[in-house]
Amino acid sequence: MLLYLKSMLMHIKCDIEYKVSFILTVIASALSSLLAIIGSLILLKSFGSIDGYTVSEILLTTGIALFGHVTTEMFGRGLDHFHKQVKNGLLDRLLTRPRNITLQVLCSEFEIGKIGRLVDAIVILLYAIFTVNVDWNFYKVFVLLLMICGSIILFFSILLLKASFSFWTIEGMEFMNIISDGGREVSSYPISIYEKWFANIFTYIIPFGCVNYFPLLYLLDKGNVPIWYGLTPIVTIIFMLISSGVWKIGLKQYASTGS
Amino acid sequence: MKAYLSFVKLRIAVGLQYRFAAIAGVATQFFWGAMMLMMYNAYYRAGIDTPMAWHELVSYIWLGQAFLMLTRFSFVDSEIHDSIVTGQVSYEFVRPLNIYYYWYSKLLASKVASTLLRFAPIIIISIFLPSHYRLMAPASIEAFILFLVTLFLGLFLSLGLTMLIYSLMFFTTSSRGIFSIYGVVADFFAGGVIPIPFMPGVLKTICYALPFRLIMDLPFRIYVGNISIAEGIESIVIQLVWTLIVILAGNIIMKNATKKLVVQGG
Repeated sequence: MLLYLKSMLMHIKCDIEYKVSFILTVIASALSSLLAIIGSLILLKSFGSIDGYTVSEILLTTGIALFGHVTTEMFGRGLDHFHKQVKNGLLDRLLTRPRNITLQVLCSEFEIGKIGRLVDAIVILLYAIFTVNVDWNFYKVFVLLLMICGSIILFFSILLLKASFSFWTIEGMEFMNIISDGGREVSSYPISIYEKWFANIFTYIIPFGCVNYFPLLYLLDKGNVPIWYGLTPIVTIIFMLISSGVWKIGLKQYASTGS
Repeated sequence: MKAYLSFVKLRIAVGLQYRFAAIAGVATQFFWGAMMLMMYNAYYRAGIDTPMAWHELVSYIWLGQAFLMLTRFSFVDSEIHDSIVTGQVSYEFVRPLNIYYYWYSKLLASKVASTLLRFAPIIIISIFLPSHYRLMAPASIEAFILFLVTLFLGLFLSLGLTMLIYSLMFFTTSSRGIFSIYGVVADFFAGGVIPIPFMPGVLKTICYALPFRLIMDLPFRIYVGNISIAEGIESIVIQLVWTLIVILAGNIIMKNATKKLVVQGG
């Protein structure tokens, strides 16, 4: 843990060294999510609502998705670029060191520039929490925290799965971006607004529905759902176990790409 | 002219080699298109009067996905970018070519190549989708011809804009940041986040005052019939004027920048 904090600090120092460049990167990352949200706000305003969900309710799901996505993007950049480490042989160097490989990969990169987007996510989330029509009680706050944690766990697992695939192939990584970046967009809205087959994929195969839909129904008291609907984000732990299993198998059978 | 044309040919041939990346790209764009349409479908279920009819919107989104590589603003030719950052650019000046048009043709080629690889599969698949989500035929033959003309002219305008940003990069070491800010902002004002007809009054006026919408919003809305033929023909003049302005400005800035170029390191 100490090691991770230390390397994180180093990366931050590195990035801040070029002041103008750093500031511009932060602005760019903040603008990209801000303009996307302005877009959906314009649509929400002109249509009034989407499938019966109000602005605050949509901002809640958008905020949770964005927060989970951006935190894993910041902390998991090493996993995101892992295929490069496999390709150029850096992984072999890591393997010779007497430290945990996963930790070393995570330490290899940290992207402070995404902080602009993180600020966006936090602002949206806070705005949504204070304006959404929910009678907050202890359990509902707990459910909200579960949703946020579930979002982080899910995006992190997807990143780990993406990294694992580079043990077998280093091409076509863009496919995995459909699930991570695509997942962020998909789960910005309650999963039920999509066509049934599409919603099913993003609920039963990649459990975004368990993070942003079932618990949301409970929070908003929609359709008298049972109380355990609030606990469904726990399912993401199963997804994480699977992806870390794949990661371990990949690591075990890894044979260097040579030279 | 011949030298630049041969660059275009060569780069297209190189670009066409990346077939696997193109397949992944097609899948990604298809996914985004489908997702966006389902989202808009949920909005349209409310049954409120909209500035774009449902089938206009569907075609607009599929065209946007099919020609993404042609119209997107964050398109970076990493070779040019790296050559400025690493100082390789000094070798380019040895060549007996105008560097502005040399890069311009390089960019043109990589845009055309990546579009050629991707647009056909997306168009073909989206024609055979269930009728609710299908890409429709153009509004009329005139609209189709005008669509091709404006798309083609828009390409030259967007290259001119990109070159303007490249020429500004000579004055700063923080090019990545500038480029991503440009990509995000231009995309928004071009109608890449939401189509311009949906925007409220002030924003719409700003969009119309800026050149970005002439690259994607204009040709796509002509195709679907959301912009009349008469208005489309008028817009061609505006496109030409903007293209001339940005190419001229880019040339002037580039000339000044390269006069006192300092290559960092060696």
